[in-house]
Amino acid sequence: MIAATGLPADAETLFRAVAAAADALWVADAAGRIAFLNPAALKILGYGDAAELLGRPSHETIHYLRPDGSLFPAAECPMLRPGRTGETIQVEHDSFVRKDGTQVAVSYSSAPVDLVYGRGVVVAFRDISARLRLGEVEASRARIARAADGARRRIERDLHDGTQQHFVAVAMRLDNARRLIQTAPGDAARLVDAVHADLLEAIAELRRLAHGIHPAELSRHGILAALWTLARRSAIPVDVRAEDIGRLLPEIEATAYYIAAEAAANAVKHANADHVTITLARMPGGLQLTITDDGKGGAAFGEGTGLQGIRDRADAAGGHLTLASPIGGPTVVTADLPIHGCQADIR
Amino acid sequence: MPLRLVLADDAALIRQALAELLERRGMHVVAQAGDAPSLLRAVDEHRPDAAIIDIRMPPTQTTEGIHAALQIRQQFPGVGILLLSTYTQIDDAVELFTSTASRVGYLLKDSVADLDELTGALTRISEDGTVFDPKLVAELLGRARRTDPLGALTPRERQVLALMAEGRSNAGIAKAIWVSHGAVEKHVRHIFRKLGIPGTPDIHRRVLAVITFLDAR
Repeated sequence: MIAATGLPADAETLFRAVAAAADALWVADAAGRIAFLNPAALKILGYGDAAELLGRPSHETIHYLRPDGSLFPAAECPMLRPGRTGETIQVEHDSFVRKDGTQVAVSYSSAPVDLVYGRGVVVAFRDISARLRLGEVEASRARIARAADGARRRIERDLHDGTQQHFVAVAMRLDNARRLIQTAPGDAARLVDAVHADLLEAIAELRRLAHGIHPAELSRHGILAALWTLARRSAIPVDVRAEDIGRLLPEIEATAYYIAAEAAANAVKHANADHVTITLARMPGGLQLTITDDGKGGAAFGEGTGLQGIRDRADAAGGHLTLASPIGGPTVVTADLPIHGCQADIR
Repeated sequence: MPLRLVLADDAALIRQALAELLERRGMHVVAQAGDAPSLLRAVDEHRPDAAIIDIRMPPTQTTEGIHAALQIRQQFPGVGILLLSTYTQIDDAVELFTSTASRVGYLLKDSVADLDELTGALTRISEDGTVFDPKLVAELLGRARRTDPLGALTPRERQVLALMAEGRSNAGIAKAIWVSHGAVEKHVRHIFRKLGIPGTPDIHRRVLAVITFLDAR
């Protein structure tokens, strides 16, 4: 609070302090018009001179869009309410509009202030874009960890329901055969035949499971060889069009492979596609992978979907993934990955 | 005379079991090795009829098996080679078949569980033949494609094609599907013509030509 009769020295200090503050401060009068902005406020909003804003209606000039870009009617805006009601409000996440029309994510407080011609508001605000990005990174990391846990549970289930059952059946049959060897050798022999067949099937199933966990071709021969094997095994035709890009960091190759595998699987499972094309090309500083299918489109990033998972993986590798999937198709997944991996992981 | 074999696989469990089974079938395992250097020493010392080599061996568990196979072929050309692979990597087979003339085979490790298939492969290799795993052939033939390059073939020709890809000689194919030698030769000619592959009398080169055609990218 400012005393009506403050000493000139205090006023000078206060003025300098407000001008130098790193946090932004602006004042709106009783009619909601901008009466004052400090230099930090001008900077965040992208204006060069306070004169551009003074006297203009605050809501319609800098507060007319919601964070999602939709129009924010003045009637629903709480920012100027303190002037009327005397309360103080805090808003954790809102959006101001800069001079160039772009939006900046902010959190702000608004308090009533007695001005010469009535009660206005003093608003203090901060740019929270960095904090939001960090939040998104943490959320992405959590999703990746959950996906890894989910994958482990599936492996446990596949091993338990599939392979383990085979071996249990084998053990039972062999036990039976053992007892019958002396008394009914013919039956024993038939049981052993059945056991042999069971085991061959269990071996094939384990091989498929191991390939799903990590395709050996990826480590041995690289991403291109792994993609060719993917194409060979696919239920629908897959064309791989790629220049030979040689070997890359294992995490980049693994990321590229899983993105391609997931997108191709979606094409079969969800899009009813007849054909998939995978292209792999060197770009300056990176690698571009695209997976196109001629299916029915309409794919989207949803919570817990495979597409969200591969976007998280692309991000984790320092890359970027985009999706174009209009209803009716075609669907195109594009992943741009750095050749050199994340800075933190360079060995 | 029983076939004399050297086994190379870093999994002692598999090696032991395999040695026992092969001995029971009347073959003679003269030595076992757990890595490439021991394998080469064993082949040098015993000069076996054939070596059964796992592709994945220490230290890196990647290409040691293939390199060892190619070295054996260079230094001891009379020794047959049967390469066992856990994973269906066609590139390895192509590399092997391109660098060696004959008396070579490429099988999935799964096939070791089928003793008839294994001993059959060893016998064919020791008789100058070539072996390519039928499961891999089936995978190549079953591959989903936009346009079917095998569409022009009759069912019988597809059957003969599969057997050619497995490395069978004309005589072997004739026996397998109960037709005459002459009929097999006719089918082979038609197949090469329809697929546009240059025909070759050499069984070994023929396997390579067919696999390369089927694995076309």
